[in-house]
Amino acid sequence: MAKLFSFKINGAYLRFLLKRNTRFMVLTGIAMTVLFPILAFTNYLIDGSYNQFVFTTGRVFILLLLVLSVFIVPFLLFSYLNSKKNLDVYHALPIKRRDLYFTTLLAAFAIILIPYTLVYIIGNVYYFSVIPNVDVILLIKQYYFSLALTLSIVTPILFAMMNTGTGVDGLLYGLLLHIIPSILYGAYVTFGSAVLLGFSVADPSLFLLYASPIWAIFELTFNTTRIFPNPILISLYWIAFGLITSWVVLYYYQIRRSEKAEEPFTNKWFFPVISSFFTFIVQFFLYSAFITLSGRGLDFRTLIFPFFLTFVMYLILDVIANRGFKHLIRGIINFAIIGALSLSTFTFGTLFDGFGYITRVPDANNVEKVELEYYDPYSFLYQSYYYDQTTFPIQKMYSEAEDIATIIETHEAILEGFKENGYKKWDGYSPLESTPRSGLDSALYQQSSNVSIVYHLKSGAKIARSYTVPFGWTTDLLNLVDSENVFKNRYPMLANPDAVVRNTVFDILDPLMSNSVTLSGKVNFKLFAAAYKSDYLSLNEQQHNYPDTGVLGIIHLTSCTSVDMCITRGIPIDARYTQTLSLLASSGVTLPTFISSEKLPIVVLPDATNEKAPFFHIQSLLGNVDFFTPSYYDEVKEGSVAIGMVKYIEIPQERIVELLPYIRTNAISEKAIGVLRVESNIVLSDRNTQYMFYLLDEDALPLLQQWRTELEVKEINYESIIYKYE
Amino acid sequence: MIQLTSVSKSFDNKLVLDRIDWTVKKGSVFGLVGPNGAGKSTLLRIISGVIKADNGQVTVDGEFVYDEPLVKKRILFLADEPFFLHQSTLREMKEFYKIFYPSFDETMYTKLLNNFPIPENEKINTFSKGMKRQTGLILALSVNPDVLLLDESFDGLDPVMRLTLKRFISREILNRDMTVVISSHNLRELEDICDQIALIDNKKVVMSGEVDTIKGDFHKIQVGFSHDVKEDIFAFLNPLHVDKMGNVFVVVAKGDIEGILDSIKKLEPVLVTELPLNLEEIFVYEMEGRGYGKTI
Repeated sequence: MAKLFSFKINGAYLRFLLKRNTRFMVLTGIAMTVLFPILAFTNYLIDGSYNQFVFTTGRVFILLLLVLSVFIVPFLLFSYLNSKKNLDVYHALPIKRRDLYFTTLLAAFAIILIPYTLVYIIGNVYYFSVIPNVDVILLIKQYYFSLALTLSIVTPILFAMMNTGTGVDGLLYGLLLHIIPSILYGAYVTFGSAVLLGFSVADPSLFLLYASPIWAIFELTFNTTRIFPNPILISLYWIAFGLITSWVVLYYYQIRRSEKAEEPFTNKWFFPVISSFFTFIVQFFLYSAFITLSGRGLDFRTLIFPFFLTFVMYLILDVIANRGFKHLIRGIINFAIIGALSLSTFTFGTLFDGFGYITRVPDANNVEKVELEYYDPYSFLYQSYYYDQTTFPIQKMYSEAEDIATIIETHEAILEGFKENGYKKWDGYSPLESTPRSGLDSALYQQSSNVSIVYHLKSGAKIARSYTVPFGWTTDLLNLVDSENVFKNRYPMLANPDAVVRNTVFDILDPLMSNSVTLSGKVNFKLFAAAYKSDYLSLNEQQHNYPDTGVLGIIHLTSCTSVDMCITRGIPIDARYTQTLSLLASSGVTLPTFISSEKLPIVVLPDATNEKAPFFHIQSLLGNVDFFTPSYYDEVKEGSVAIGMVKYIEIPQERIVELLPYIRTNAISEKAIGVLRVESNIVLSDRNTQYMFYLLDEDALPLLQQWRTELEVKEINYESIIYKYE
Repeated sequence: MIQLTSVSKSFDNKLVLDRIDWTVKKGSVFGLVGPNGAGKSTLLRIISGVIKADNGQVTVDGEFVYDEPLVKKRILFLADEPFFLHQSTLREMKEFYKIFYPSFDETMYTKLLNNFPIPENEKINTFSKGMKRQTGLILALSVNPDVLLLDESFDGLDPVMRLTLKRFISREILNRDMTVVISSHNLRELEDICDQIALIDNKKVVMSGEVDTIKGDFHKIQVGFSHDVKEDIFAFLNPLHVDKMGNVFVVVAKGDIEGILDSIKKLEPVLVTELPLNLEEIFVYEMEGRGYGKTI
């Protein structure tokens, strides 16, 4: 073992190689300098200002050039391996083979890295001098990653060179070794997406991070947000990989025979193993891709074309390898074996539901936590705008046993629904025959929802699934409403008050948003956040989804984490928010009351004759689309167009207060009672309509009945109620 | 001293050298001859440490060679096609050799450069085949090794250069006690320069010794008769070769010349004359005697 690691670098030969390749280093250095920082400087000459993006682009390009030179330099320095006479001379030199190998490898490493390092330093010194607040530690880390991974990119190329006899074969198979992980991953993802219901990958780049050093060098250098797996550990993994493969290559270097040096393959197993594996995964990839494109499921007619396409590809590789058609019959037989193997694996994988992949749901006892992404069409749990996520990243992780059980139940309900449909994927449009959840309007029920679940098992493994399902299959998830995670996503600024730099709006409005009182300077924001959070979490899912008390006020809050990163929320308060109300009272805040509005509020009445059970939800105060179930309207045909007509009554200003005890927001009703629409005086900062909708409690029925008789019941186009047409 | 003990080598299960025992004395100039594919180059590559023998031992002055830099520093192997770095000049190649061979002699290099008109700073890949050979020899001789292994290195040189080089090598050997092994098909050249010779055939060294001793062991005799006789009349001599032109025969045989002449005279020839025999002829007749090339 000690002998394995004992080698001496021949300094004189190292210097000789560096001197001989000076021109190459100068050339790559110039090419890199043009991209970083000259590109940024020329951009400055044009725009008059420095653009950070141009610097980053330059850094990406010089890393690309680094990778490119990794492919070139081994062929410059180890080219003697491809000539019998040259190899004889090198092996006759008075230097141990391992010393010669490591000296040349070190020289290759230096030739690749010297220009990169110089340009990296010069470019970043320039960057540092013109761009403020540069993260120097990050720049050093990025350089370290490129340094750490270079060896692991070089060694597969050297491995290909050691097993092939010509530069072209070495380059071809070096490239092949580098792209095999990507094709393997592509085949896995395409196969999963094509035939496996619920297929999802927990961390899309995780596999390539460990399988492809080229992917890893870019991912580690430029994905600065990655925390897990630890980038330093990954870099150490690749350093270890590079060192181990260096010794594997050394083994092949030492046994390389000059008699075979000029043959296409110096190792008789190299071509069969690499080309067979490559063909196998390309076939798998193409089968999956063609099945996806055809949309016909497993139909063998679809597989004919990719089968023959890979046949031609394999024969081309075989002909190149054998420098002719001499072994064509053997090549055809080999391909037949590979084809049979891939076809049978593919077919079995498809017919047996991915060998249990589809139906697997983990036992709750084995689950440590669950990552959930749930995009339902009604924003029941929370809505998060894309710009919100940059301010407050969406919280997906559920670790409470109760929440985990809820997610697993939903997962099982989804699988039950698919089981009745033969585990076929749902296109999101065509109505499904089975109904795992009853009690919903079909229009509500069939709305497409996306659910992505990643189970983090106690063993450290992850199980990821992703489904597009009818909303009706996911209603169990509404039970998560009382979890801290939903609170974090609904009101991120209250969940993370320390992250808030300032509040541009901190007011309390009356329930119908006609009047406001500022809280700034009166109420301590952090105390408010703590009180509201405590109140929110004290309510269970029943109390959240089916509130039994009227809204008392709405907090209008716009919080910023930096100058241009702000989000707005309308936060309802009712009598159950005792700590919040106490805080407001102790801070001398009086809740504002309704003042008259120019526009009359209206109550939309459900169609009394419609007996469908409506599952109705009033969205949170920033919902951008409000929805009435068909229970609320009659469809009237105008030509070929069906128009929903709703009945409503206009409520005189002075009578609106009678309705206040019954108005609810963020609530669900299983009966069609009525919906109050007001045109508020105050518009929440980033809401684009003044219309606000409130669900009415069942207790409002006598009052509504009375108004039906006292006030005029009118009829209007459904959309005119929802959208304001100026 | 180069010592090979029971050295065997195979390539892809094909035996190339079979239990070779061979010794080259220090300071000698050894010619290595043999038919194509006999294993001459393989033998030189084993001695130089390029490849490892499958069996047996190879030592130079008692030390193993393969992957032993200290010994290999004293050996220089010049292959049949000389190697030069891509796009290199003679000056760059000199630097290359100086890295690995501390014995590289700048004075010798200058002297050789004065004798051979090779431009030092021009790209070697622009040189003719003969110039490349000269370049290779300049570098090899400048290394000043204890053991110089030349694999058909004189092929491609014009006669003047060949002669100059031969003289140079002869002089240097005398001055420096260098051991030289030269493989070649051109036995006339070897005869001029080598003091010892070895013949490889059928995977073995079948003949090895001083050039003069070998030459003294082979005899070419012209024999004339007054009457017609058959060729097989010489069968008792085990001749390597018999030529007949009328009643005159040319017989090539091995052994003591006095004994051979006495035996021939008993056949009552009218003419018995010993003819001169060079090394090339000996090689040809010896190989014919072993069945090589007889069918052509």
